[in-house]
Amino acid sequence: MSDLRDMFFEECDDLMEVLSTGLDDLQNGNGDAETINAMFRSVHSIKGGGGAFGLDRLINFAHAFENVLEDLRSEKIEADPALIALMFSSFDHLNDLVDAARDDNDIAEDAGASILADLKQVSPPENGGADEVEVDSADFMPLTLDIGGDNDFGPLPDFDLPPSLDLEADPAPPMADPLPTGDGINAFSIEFSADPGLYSRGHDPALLFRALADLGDVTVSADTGNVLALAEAGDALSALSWTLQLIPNDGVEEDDIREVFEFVESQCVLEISTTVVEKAADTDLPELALPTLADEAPAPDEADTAVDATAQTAPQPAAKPAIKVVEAKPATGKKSEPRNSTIRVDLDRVDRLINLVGELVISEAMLRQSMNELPVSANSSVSEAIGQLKTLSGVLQESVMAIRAQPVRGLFQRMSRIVRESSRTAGKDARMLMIGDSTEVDKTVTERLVEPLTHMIRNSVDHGLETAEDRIKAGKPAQGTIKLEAAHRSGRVVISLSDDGAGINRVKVRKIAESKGLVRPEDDLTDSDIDNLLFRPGFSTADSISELSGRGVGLDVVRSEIQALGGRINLQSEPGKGTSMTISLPLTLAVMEGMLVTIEGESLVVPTVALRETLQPGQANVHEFCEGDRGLSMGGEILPIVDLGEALGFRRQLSNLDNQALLLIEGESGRRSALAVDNIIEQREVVIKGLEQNYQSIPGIAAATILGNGKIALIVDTDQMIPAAGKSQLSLLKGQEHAEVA
Amino acid sequence: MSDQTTEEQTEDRIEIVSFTIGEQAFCLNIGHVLEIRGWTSTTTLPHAPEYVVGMMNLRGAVLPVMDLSLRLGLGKTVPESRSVIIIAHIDKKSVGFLVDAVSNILTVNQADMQPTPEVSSARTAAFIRGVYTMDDTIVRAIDVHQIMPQDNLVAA
Repeated sequence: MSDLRDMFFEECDDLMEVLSTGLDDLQNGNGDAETINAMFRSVHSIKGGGGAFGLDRLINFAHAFENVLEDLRSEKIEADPALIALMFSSFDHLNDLVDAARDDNDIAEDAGASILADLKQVSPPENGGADEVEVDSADFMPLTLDIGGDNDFGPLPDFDLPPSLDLEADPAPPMADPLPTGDGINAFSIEFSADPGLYSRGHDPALLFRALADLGDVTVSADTGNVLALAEAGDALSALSWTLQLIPNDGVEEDDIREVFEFVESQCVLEISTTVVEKAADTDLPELALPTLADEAPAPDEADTAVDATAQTAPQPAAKPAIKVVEAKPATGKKSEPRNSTIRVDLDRVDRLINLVGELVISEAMLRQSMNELPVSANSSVSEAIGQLKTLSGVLQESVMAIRAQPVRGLFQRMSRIVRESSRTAGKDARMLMIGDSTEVDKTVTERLVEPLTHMIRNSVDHGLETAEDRIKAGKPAQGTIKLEAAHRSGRVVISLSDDGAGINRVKVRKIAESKGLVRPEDDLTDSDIDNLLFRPGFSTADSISELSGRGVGLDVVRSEIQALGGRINLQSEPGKGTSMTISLPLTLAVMEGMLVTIEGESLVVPTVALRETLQPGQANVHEFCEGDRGLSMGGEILPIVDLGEALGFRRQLSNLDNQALLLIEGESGRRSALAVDNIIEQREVVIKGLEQNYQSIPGIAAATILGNGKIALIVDTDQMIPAAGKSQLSLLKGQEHAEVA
Repeated sequence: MSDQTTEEQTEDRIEIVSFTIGEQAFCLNIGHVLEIRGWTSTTTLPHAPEYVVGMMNLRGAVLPVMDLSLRLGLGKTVPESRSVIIIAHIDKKSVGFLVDAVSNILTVNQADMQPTPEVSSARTAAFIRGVYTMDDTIVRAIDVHQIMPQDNLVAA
């Protein structure tokens, strides 16, 4: 059971994401009918799954939410900003409910009550049906409930399991996409037969059929062929089945029909298909009349055998009612966007695969290296095969890496919620702008970014944005904007968070830092030094400790989290214009192009992304400055020269650089410098191996890699090798705190 | 995954891997030991404590090798072909310990461990959990959690 539960909650994550994407689309005016349908299906599936686990509050709330979406779908109401805001809060609350259910936490009784009331006000439950839905929503309810003593239906304990194979009433799968309607020639053919349970619960097929009549023109015919003599039949079987033909009104879709049967879907066999009545105008698809079930599963459509079939499917995950069995829609080629089929795989397995492929690549390189040492002619079949192997292992590695990469969308959507919540708490009006949310980042990285980003956003809302009045006074729109942006830049992932608030009040920051003894009044601090005080432990600029931030954790925590990920955080602020913080993260586990160099016999790799030019010994125009500082004259510019061996502590300062090759590098900030090395060997692809896993991060070193001979080479962190403005090379590594955030 | 639990699971009897550094005998709980390898050259790490000899490649994993002798204050080991690296897994990290030689795998009574003698220096007190007496020698039990390189460079 717990497996099913886990699966349900995993599925909920996906569904919530769909919902959130839909909300964003609506908000940005990109929503269409399918957006709302998708949202509806998500909420519906969550409700359905909730039913299986008896999550009453969740069901209740999801149902009210669903009603609103339903009205929206049928265009009874309009998605105006107020409604979208309500739906956002509903989304958040639904998320809370799901989380609470997952962790078995209780949330306050009255939490969300006002949202629920609002939802109900927008879309009052109809015809008293709403209350039944709660009881009934679970197509998989039988997995958890026994059927009670009063229904003595015979030997099958799971008798009223959802005959899911046939029924497939869940509107979630895209197969249930709206069928092409409106041209008047498509009709729905509905086969319906009731389980005894349907009658024993007091449902009446006639009422259902009448409800159908509201959707269009219905023709009903009953099949009485299976009716047994009363004495034989007992109460265990219901033998009547019906065939209905519905010529739908405009806008009526299969989902609408399913909805009529929603309350009884677990107690009947329902099959909906499209047929063509009259002439088929534009189609050369003769068999619009459906693939029968037999195509997909051995599920005959009589009620009793359906139960057997269901029994077979009973072990199926309850949270996945969407077993794709009844593909009720023929391949009309319209609107049936194929669902990206996915599987869930344990992350450990993926990691193992990635490691193995990494080793394969290394072995391949080793093989190639030893081949080169053998007297094999260059165009022999062996070297050809090795060439193929190289290509293959490269492609294999790329594909495997892609498995772990996930778009940051999910993370951003969580953050968008934080913006909503914290702006509400702070009494400020803020909206979130997401850019580049399809940027793919390693899953581990996205997970570990949640905490720091949450904190940063709270900070921006709380300290960055001004109140609406202040904003208007400053000539800005009353609503503040928090912009979250992701991009791949020079081999790293860059995530930046900016607000259009007041910027850092440096006078105030300095005053506080002085009062806390972090700096002395006579210290000469640059603007960026002052900004960086925010990263000092225990710093809080809020006058009063607010609910949002200032709980004693400061940006220092954010910074150490980012550093633990091998990243850096950068802060820029312009008074009156806003503040932006940029996180730059390595693409872990990735393959990288690098230049292999040697220093004092040690091999090192300089990432090619940062490399601009290489200069062999003697080519460079080197100028000496005091204390052994050297500059390289390049195109009228003097660039600092950093001796890599000295910076990494491999040797003392060299008396001259005559025998050193120089690598011209450019950092993320656009600053350039030249690295002095002993020899440049070659450019090659390397597999990044993190150092933190078994050791810890090392200043100046981004990661390690394994060379063809099995030796380890360290990968230089070029950004840390570029002296920051006004900093000496030594402070660069020793005073890492400054270098990191400058 | 502390020693405590490992030891309780095997009740009183535990297996230890004993090894020598100079004239002294030390041991690790076998639960921590992944494998024992001959000396391979390592890649020097910048800005690392002196006792971190460098990084080695263990079938694709990159792990640090520590000179246990230097870490214990017994002088720097000059690696030679007879030197041995004990690959251990401690606190979710893999690490190699450079030692002179591995002597034996012994089964001892957990209760037989005696406290470290009072004469200890601070370093002994920190790194040695206690001693087992074997005939006329003593085997020093290393406190694996203390011996690991401390995260002094990153605030993590």
